[in-house]
Amino acid sequence: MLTLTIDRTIFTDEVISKAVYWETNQYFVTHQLNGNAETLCFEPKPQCNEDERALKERFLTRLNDFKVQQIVDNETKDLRTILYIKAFANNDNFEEISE
Amino acid sequence: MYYLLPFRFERFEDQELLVNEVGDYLFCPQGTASRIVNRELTEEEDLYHDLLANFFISPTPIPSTIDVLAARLRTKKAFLDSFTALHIFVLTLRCNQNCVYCQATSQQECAQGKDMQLSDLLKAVELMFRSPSEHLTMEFQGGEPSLVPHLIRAAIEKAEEINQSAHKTLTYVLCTNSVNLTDDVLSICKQYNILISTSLDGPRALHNSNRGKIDNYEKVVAGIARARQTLGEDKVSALMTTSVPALNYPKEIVDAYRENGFRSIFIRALNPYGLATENNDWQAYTTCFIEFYKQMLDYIIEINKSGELFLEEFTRLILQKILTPFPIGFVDLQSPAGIVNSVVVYNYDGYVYASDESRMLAEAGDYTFRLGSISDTYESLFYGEKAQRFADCWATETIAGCSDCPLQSYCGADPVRNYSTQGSMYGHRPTSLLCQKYKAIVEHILSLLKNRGEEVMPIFTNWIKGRNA
Repeated sequence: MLTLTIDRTIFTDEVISKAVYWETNQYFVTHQLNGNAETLCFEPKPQCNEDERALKERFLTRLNDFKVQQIVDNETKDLRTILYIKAFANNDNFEEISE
Repeated sequence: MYYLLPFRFERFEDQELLVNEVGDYLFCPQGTASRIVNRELTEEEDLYHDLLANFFISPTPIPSTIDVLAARLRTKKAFLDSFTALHIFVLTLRCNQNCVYCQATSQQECAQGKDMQLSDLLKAVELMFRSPSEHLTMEFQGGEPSLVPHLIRAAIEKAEEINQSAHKTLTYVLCTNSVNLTDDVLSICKQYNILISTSLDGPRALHNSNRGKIDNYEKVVAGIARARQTLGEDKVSALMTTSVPALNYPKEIVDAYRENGFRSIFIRALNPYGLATENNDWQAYTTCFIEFYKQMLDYIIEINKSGELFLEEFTRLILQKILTPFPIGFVDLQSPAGIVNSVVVYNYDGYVYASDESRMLAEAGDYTFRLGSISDTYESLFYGEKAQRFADCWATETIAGCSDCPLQSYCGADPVRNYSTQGSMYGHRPTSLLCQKYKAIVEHILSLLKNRGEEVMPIFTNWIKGRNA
């Protein structure tokens, strides 16, 4: 069983949850929060046969990637909303792309 | 200084794949996404200008091209404009074959009470015309719909009658195994310009083995020939279903299609409905199917390199999503999902279902995706409580695992498959074999574009143009 402690001031709950989500095909994952320290325990499911090092490497990569993605999402949230409003607000002034 | 535009990314081989909100992709050096958000890019770099030109960053908080982006986004989702366009009529559950992979739980040809009532059929046609779509496709399915030609004729006559005032564009498709294409059936097809969608599983031995008959191949090939002779070459297309034994014959299956005069093939995996559910190891099947798909596609690319135009239809659909601004009509790869939005099924049992797979579940006693009775109102069926419940989880933009996926633009949501294989419409992407399959296929195609672009791009462009022309 692998145990990792993550600093919530570096990685948000959302980022941690997304990274954990993709491990749930192979692991049972429990969370314990103590202040800003979140401890994750990865217990392999019966069909899982990878070593802890591979899990740790992949999980930490995912954490970093989801953190970057979160920054993109946060910074572009309003723009994305504007984009969807403009796209679907029945505005007839747009130029249609025709096949 | 620059500003970010919405995009998603993943590590891809030795690089990073970035895909923006409208599906434009760019392969970049690893660490690019991190450099972008940390504002490390400089105007002196080619990468900066590539990202700018491809709508990943902008020199202004609101890009001057936002209206172009909005138009492209709307175009990508244009399949929603007309709402349900594909209307499937399951005229009978009776069939004259015993396919080992039958997903429809077809019944014996002599079975009783498995044909659609004429009154239900006529009401269903009226319902279909309530759809706002200017283009309606009536697809006749079964069982084997050619066993009930009187129902095919009645449905089309009713549609033509209503269309005298509705003025919609109607397309008719008969999904048939081609064994029973009698003069009567072909006469209806000829009269109403019906397209034939048939199935051929590959070479003789494989096809006959799949159908549980010793002479089915000859009958199907003869039926296809008759249909072509009566209706024209371009009116007949075929699908293959990758049974477990088929996984060993990628080249032979393609060659069987070529020998029978087809210029394309649609590589279709088994779906976990009906008799196909008896397959006992879906993980192993999915892994093998992905390899089968790659081998078959490689072989088809080689055929095209030799100068022969031969398409793989599923790849063409994905390519259209990756390389063009246009949506595709394939209901399995849409978000919001194809169910109700693009397709609906009027079943022989007098009920309306959200999709073809939904009625297949019903044969196993699960009516989760039954929208209501054919006698119900259009509003209650298409905008009712059930349809609204499906809407909670039918967009890849909103569900866990898909919302951050860079391949989101090239994929689709499938609450019915999630429900049937994982027990919830929402689904769980890390254990989803559908996600695993689509992801592997899309990544393979992107890998071909990345690593063998000069070789495959002319072929893929021809495939897309061939259908757009």
